[in-house]
Formats: sequence, structure tokens, C-alpha cells
Amino acid sequence: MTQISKLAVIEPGAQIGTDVAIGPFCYVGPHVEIGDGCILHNNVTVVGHTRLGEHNVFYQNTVIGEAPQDLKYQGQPTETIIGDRNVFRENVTVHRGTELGGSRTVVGSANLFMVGTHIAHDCIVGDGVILANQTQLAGHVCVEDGAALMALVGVHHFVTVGKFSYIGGMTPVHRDVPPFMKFAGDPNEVRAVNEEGLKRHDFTSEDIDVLKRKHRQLFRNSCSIAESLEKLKSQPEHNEHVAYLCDFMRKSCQGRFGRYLEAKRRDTRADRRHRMPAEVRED
Amino acid sequence: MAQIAPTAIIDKSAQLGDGVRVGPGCVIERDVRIGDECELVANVLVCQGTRMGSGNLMGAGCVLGEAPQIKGVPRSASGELVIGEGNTFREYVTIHRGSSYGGGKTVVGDHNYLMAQCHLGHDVEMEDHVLMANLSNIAGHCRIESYAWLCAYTGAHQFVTIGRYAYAAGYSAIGRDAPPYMKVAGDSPSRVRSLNLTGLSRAGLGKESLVALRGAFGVLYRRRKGQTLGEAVAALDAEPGLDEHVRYLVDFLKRSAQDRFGRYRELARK
Repeated sequence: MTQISKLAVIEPGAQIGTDVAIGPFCYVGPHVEIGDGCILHNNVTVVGHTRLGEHNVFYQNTVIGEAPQDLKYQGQPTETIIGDRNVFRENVTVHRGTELGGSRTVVGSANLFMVGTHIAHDCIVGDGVILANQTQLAGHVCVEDGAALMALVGVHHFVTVGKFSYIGGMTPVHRDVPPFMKFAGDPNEVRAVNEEGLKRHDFTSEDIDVLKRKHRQLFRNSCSIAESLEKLKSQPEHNEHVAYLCDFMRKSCQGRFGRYLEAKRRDTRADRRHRMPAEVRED
Repeated sequence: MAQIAPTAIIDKSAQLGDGVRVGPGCVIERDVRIGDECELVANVLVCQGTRMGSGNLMGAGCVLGEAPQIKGVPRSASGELVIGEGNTFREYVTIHRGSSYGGGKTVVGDHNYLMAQCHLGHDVEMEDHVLMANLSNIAGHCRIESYAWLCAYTGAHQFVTIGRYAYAAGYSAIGRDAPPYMKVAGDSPSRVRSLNLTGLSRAGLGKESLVALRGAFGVLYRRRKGQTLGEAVAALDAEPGLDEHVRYLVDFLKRSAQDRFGRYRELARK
């Protein structure tokens, strides 16, 4: 049974599923679809062309689907797509895509977004990700499955955070974060294999030992990464995780600034010359 | 007589004291007690299990007593948030109630000032006269002693104790117990930099105590090469007739050193 507070405002055109609960002072815009079983506590705002999957929970002061904070956004009806069983805690913001960035921001399922986190335009977040308090993803960031970002982390545009990685608190992330690794520090460093995270995601101890050896071979010897990657190709224990890690490193190292996704940048010099947001521009 | 805006939603079982002002869009859940002369500016949420004394100010968008951010703990989980009197919680401050894992209570004392977007995690114990500047975030199970001063964007790791009259510079990542009377700064993790002289003179400590603390700082943090902090603490500990504040500092450091991460409260972790 869907229950909508009398003090919530739902615009005509919004599609609300079954067993949805919407608390007082929520605002749902006309182009929003809310999946079955979602719970919006009070003071939640969902606007734009936004699709929420099933059984998501939204705490107070959350804003989903708002306009990107990007001067090159032209005001088109871009999308925000959110999967199932995510928890959005207080003051979380998710912004919709920009035209040049793929026109959509995508969030997967079973994620936990803690107080004050921010997912900017054109981000792609996988499943089982944790963003701790106040962690901010800039535009076009890709966070793969199972990654855990601790509090007050700032992730630069176009960074890819590899799957099952762990980023220590207060780290300004400038470059791609290798999968399965712990990553922290300014300047950024790969510290060790994310053993605790891998155990929690049911990696076998053999898998973890193999990754520990590969970590040493890649990040703890005196050769360059390119040479280490070459050597690893011919060695035994090249299982699927090691192959994933090597492919990731290869792509990142070829990427500008160590960010593989920089190759997907579509804005031109002209796009970057805007000095005011579309809403208040005079031309 | 409480003054309540027509758009505020207050559960019948909530108890509001005299002179309480509740602004528009506020939500007060069941089993909440709010003391005299408290003010809730607008869109404030006070969740079940919260009780507070008199004279507290809650700015727009505050959320007090919400469920802990622990995977698997539902929003309906019971727990308490106990707040004293004369505190100021500015806009979008979030304080989470206790978890059953941690003993069930988050406690905030008197006359604290939490600026915009500060956060106290579940099971935190905060004493009195603490100041937290914008976006300071305190993880679960921490303890913040009286007169500690946290600058903007500081983050405290879980189970950390921040000693009284400590000062944390902006963007400090406090990964270990922060000793009383000291300034800590930096990340990866923060380190003791100097004595918190400004805080101590504001606190009105006597001249003898200031001199004693200066001496203690030198012994502890300006050690000769090769001497460990533990050895310096032991040397101070052995001295007779220590000033009461130096004794407090030495005892604090001895407790922290018992845990391998330098976080004394980790020892109580189940």
C-alpha cells in the first residue's frame, strides 16, 4: 500500500510504484518514476527525468536528479537512473547527466551513501559501493562494484575507482584507483592489497595471496609499471582477477594524468569558455 | 507555552518544555523530550529516543537522533541520544543515536557549538564547551573531552579520544587519540605540533601549570634522537609532584599507548 503524506507535494505525471512511503515535505517532480517499495523520509527532493528502482531508502534533505553544477550544461532533459536497495543518508545529492557526458548519471544497486555525499553529473556507480560521510565524486567518475571510499574523500573528474578497492579517509584522488587495492595519501599511493575488503566479499584466501604477490610484483619493484605488466603476462597465476588488474593498469597508464576516462572527454575549448551557468546566461 | 508552526509535525508522545519554539517543516518523532527554551529553526528532524535539556538551538535542516550508519541496522533500531543544555547546532548538523553494539547511547554535554554540516556518529561521547567548525565529522564511538576545538573539515577516525583543550587544525585526519592541551594538524594521520597555548590562556590556567605543560611538551615532543614517546612518557610519569594537568596528560598518553593504533577506546571494542 503506497502511503503519501498530505504534506508531500507530488507533481502530476510522476509515477509512483506500489508499497512506496513518502513522508512530509517531500517534493517529487513530474518526470520521476519511483519503483516499488521505496521509502522517502521527510524533506526528500526528487526532480528531473529520474528513475528510481525498487526498495531504495532516502533520508532527510536528500536531493536526487537536480541540474548539474557544470557550466557546459545546456539545460536539456538528461537523466538520473538509480537501481534497487540503495540507502541514501541525510544531505546526499545526486545530479543528472550533461549532454556532452552521456546525458545520464547511473547508480547501481545495494549501495550505501552516507551523510553529505555527492554524486556529480555523468558518474557511473556500480553495485555494493560504500561512500562514507561527505565523500564527493566529481563529474564523469566511474566507481566499480564493491569499492569502499572512506570519509571526506574527494574524487577528481574522470577517475575510475577499481572494483573492491578501498580509499582511505581524506584522500584527494587524482588518478585511477587500481582494483583490489588500498589507496590513500597525498600524493596518491597504492598501499597494499585490500585484504579486509576482499575477505568481506568472499574472496578465497588463495585469491588474496595471489593478489598480494601481484601487488608486490607490480607496485613494489624497481621496474616501471609497463615492464612489470609485460613480465606478469607470462607468469603463472594469471587468473581472472590478475588479468582484470593488469588490463586496468594498462588502460590507466595510457590515460592522460593516469585517468583512463580522460579519453572520453567530449567538451571542446568552446564548451569550456562559458562563464555562467545556463540558467542565468543571457545569450 | 511552546510556540509551534502550523506545518510542524509533532508526535503526541513527545514532551516539549516551556518556551520551546518549533519552526515550519519540523518533524518531532515519538518518545522525544525537549527542554525549556529550545529553538528548532525550520525543517529540523528530532528522532525517537532523543532527549535534550534546556536552551538548545537547532538550525535549519538539523537531523538529531537518526539511526546509526551501520549496514544492516534498520532505521527503526532503538537507541538514545542524550543532549545537555545550552548547545548550538547550526544548519544541517547530523547526530546519530547509539547502537546496540556500542552501548546504546550517544551523549552530548552542555554549551557545545557545532557549526554547519558537522556530524557526530553513533555512540559518540561529547563533554562540554567543545567547538566544531564547519564540516567536522566524528566517526562512531569517539570521545571528545571538554574545551576541545576542531577546525573546519577535520575528520576523526572511529574510537578516537580527543583530549580536553586539544586543538585540531583544519583538514586534520585524526587517526589516533589527540592528547589534551596539544595542537594536532595534518593528515596521514595528524601529529602533535605544539602546545595549544591560545586555548590554555583562554582557559585561565595558572602560570605554574602553563610552565609545567611547556616543560612536559619539551620532554615529550622535543625528545633527543632515538628516544621513543613511550620512554619520554615513562620518564615524566616517574617524576614526583607533577602538576595536575601534566599528570592528566601523562595518564592520557599511557592509556592511548595500550592500544596498537593509539586509540584507547579500541580496547573496549567487543
